[in-house]
Amino acid sequence: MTTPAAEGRIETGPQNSPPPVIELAGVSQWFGPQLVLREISLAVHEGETLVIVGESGCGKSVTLKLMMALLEASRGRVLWHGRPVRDRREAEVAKERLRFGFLFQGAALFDSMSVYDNVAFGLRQNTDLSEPRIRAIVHDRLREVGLQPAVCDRKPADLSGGMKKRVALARALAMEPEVIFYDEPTTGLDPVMSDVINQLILRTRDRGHVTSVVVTHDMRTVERVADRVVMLAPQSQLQDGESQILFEGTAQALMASSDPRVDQFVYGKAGERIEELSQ
Amino acid sequence: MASYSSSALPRETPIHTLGRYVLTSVSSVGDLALFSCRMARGMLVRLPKRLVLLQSFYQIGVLSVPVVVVTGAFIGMVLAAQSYEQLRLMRLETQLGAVINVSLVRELGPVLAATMLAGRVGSAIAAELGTMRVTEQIDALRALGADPIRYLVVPRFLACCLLIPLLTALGDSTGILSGWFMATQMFHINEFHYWLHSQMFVSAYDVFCGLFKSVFFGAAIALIACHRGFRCGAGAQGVGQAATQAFVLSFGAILALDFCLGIFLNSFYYVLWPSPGGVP
Repeated sequence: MTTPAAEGRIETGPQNSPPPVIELAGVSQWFGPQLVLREISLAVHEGETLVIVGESGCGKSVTLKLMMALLEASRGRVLWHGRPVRDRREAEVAKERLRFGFLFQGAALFDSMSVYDNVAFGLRQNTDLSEPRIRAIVHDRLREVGLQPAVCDRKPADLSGGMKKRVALARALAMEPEVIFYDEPTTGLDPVMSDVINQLILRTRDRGHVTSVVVTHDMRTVERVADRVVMLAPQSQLQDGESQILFEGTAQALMASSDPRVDQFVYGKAGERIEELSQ
Repeated sequence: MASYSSSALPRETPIHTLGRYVLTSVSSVGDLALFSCRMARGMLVRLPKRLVLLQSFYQIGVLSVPVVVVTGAFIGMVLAAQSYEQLRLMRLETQLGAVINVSLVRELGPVLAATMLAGRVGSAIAAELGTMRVTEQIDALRALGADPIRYLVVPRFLACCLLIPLLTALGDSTGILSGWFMATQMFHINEFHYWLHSQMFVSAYDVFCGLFKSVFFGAAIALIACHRGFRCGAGAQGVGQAATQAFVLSFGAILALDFCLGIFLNSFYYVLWPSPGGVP
């Protein structure tokens, strides 16, 4: 399936519509000699939930970090509200980044701090709020993700995987971000906890018309939360000149895709992949 | 339009290996210089919060006290035991105080305190920051609006620079005391002559030189350890390598700085006091 993005064009909508919240324009990323992303063009619109899927190692997490300017693109442009990130000063990028929340794959909670200090970190760093006000916000955010304030004094090492993810989500929500990035939010969790996380993604989206970008392998997450799905192909499967975006559309269209590579991923068929990977 | 397909590389020769090694080394030194500049800028813009500073001061300064005290004590005793036999053969054993105290205050105290700090603190910093990098905690700091250099590096740099002179002074003191104990109590050297010769040969400039050098040692340890942590490779192996590199490179930097600063301070002495009086 060929999409506008796959052809290298960016869907910007009608002339008078606001620019996308985040846009990648012809972005490529190398790590040393290794090419990870090739000429990706992608736009995230306000209020939508975009899900990025693809095999391990195809550059999904890198795409997320490029969107948040945690990585600098080797080539191409990342735009926030239509303005390239590269044209902004470092302090402006750091300030602008506060409008985004990021749920990291491994939660990335600060080991040396308690749950309370983790969730309060952004508020303490970036606001002049009093400690009682910060405490109230921290407790609210923890309740929002289904945790009691009693966990406040615990260290991340004492928490289960699902609790870590929820504390990390509470931390990401503390600054009331406009956009939230979820990097494999359900990886390593049991089906029930995965569904809890999916519900939280939906609840967060509905709460304040939050824009969400979710990277996942989990097709149940795709079905439950996606307004739009983008599928990336690993570099090894691409031919010269072929776009890395294999598919762009709704979750239903993804399930019904006739592209064998999409079908293979969606229904988890190994096919000839073992032979391909061993070469 | 650049090509994305990798062209065939030429066969690897020793010249290629040498070239890659030189390029990597030059690039690492340049990266460390840029890292230091970013750290200096971060320090000038705004100092870290008091609580963050106090935590670093405690971790780096207070927890290093036992190691430095034990090291200082043993250096003093070893110096006394080794020098006594040599001086006794020349019937100069009352000069033992001068030998121990000059060596300690000017060279061994600062270098060994810094070496112990590089082992205890440098490796720990590199491992801690390396783990934070591998587990995306450094990215999380940036995502939450904190500058990782200002939040993680500046407090450790300040703690190392400001506390290493105190640790050095503590190590010197315990070394002097243990040396005195060995000389006067074990080797029965006359206490009056022991201190008299010490006083004659150890000047305030010697004490200043030792403490002055230690500030540079502390700065080198902090910068190298933080840099290695920030550039840590993936996984447990990467963290282990970062910790090892932090110690090895810090130790090399301490010795190189000791040599350069030693020559500079000797020359500076003659600039300050240009009499033909002799060596400081």
